[in-house]
Amino acid sequence: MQSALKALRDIQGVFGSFVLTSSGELLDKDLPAVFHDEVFLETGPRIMRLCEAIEHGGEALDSLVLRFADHKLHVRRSRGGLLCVITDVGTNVPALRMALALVARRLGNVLSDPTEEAATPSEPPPPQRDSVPPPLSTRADKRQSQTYRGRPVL
Amino acid sequence: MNAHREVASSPENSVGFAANLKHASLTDLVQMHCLGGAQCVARITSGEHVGYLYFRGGNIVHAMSASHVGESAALEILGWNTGVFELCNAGWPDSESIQAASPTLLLRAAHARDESNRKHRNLVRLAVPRSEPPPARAEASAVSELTSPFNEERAAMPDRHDGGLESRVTLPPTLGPQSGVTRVQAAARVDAHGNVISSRGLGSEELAGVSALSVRLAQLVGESLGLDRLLAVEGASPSQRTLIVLEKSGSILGMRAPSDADLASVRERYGV
Repeated sequence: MQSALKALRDIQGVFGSFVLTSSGELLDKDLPAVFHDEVFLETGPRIMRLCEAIEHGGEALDSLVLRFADHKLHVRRSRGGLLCVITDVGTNVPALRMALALVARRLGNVLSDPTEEAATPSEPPPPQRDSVPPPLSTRADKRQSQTYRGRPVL
Repeated sequence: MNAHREVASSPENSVGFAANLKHASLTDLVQMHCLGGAQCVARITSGEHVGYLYFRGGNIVHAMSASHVGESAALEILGWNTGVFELCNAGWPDSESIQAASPTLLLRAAHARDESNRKHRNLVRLAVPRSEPPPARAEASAVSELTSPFNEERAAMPDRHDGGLESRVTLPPTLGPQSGVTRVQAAARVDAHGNVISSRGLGSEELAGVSALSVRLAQLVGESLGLDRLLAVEGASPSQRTLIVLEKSGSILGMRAPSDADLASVRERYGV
């Protein structure tokens, strides 16, 4: 999914993007570090409510654009979620629309079938240099795991 | 507009009736004199302004005001809204300055008045500070302009008004033949305090609430993402588009149109 979101940065003026589930939870993001995950705890559900508000009395939305003085937030509905992109006001809209359609289709496949994401070749995970070692097993676990001829050994 | 026929100095020589009318429009009075076909001169006084219209053969053939002569004077005089219309004994000019027929002249005057009112509305809109509510008449008229397919015809029709705030007309789902703006299905304007200023079209009352809520949510989304000053929200579905504009006055204008409607002129008008 990261590679799909990163592809959107090929469009000039795209600052970053993020994906919300159908309940508004952040699924993934490709944004500068200043956008902490906590930001999306409230923002995600608000975007979902905004879509629902505009859909009220009408049809389900395909796309939504929030125009601000210097930026735009493009929201594209995909199967099982929302693809959101932050751009400046001068972005090539037809190019972005095309890219959004392609990425949304790919995300739709991933969201509807999570195994597809695992099947797609991706970069290996970085080595966990400072990772915490796994917790030692408790005494009770040891009790359950130690057996002799089928009988637990205390 | 008050109107009365000046009684001649020798009443026994005059024929016909003297009349004293109130609340008549200048257009009506001019048309009445054109129908008579008589040769006469009318003095029109509006505040400090004085002008003269010369009638002959059912047309206005000459006009004078303090600053203009001819058709421009006639248009100026016909643009006055209040005053007194009275026949007088002013001298006839050596040459008549207006060739256009009276109906044409009246239509031009109506069009000029409408343009003047439109410019005035725009000036009022620009002059309204952010904290004050916008003028209701102008705002209602703007919504009317968006939903009415008959703007051009209305501009040419004298003394027609869209009825202001009290006139809430339910329009058919799709209006007008081709123009994108005229195909707006519903429009609603809400002021900064959430009061519905005007609404037109099917589902426009609901659209007012949708617009107000959407703007609030979009502002919150923008604040949390560091995106300043919301201008508009635009949603697209397979057969419908919803455009919500946050105006400088703080009012919110929401409109719904078919998906193939061209809202470019609306975006341009509101700078979004």
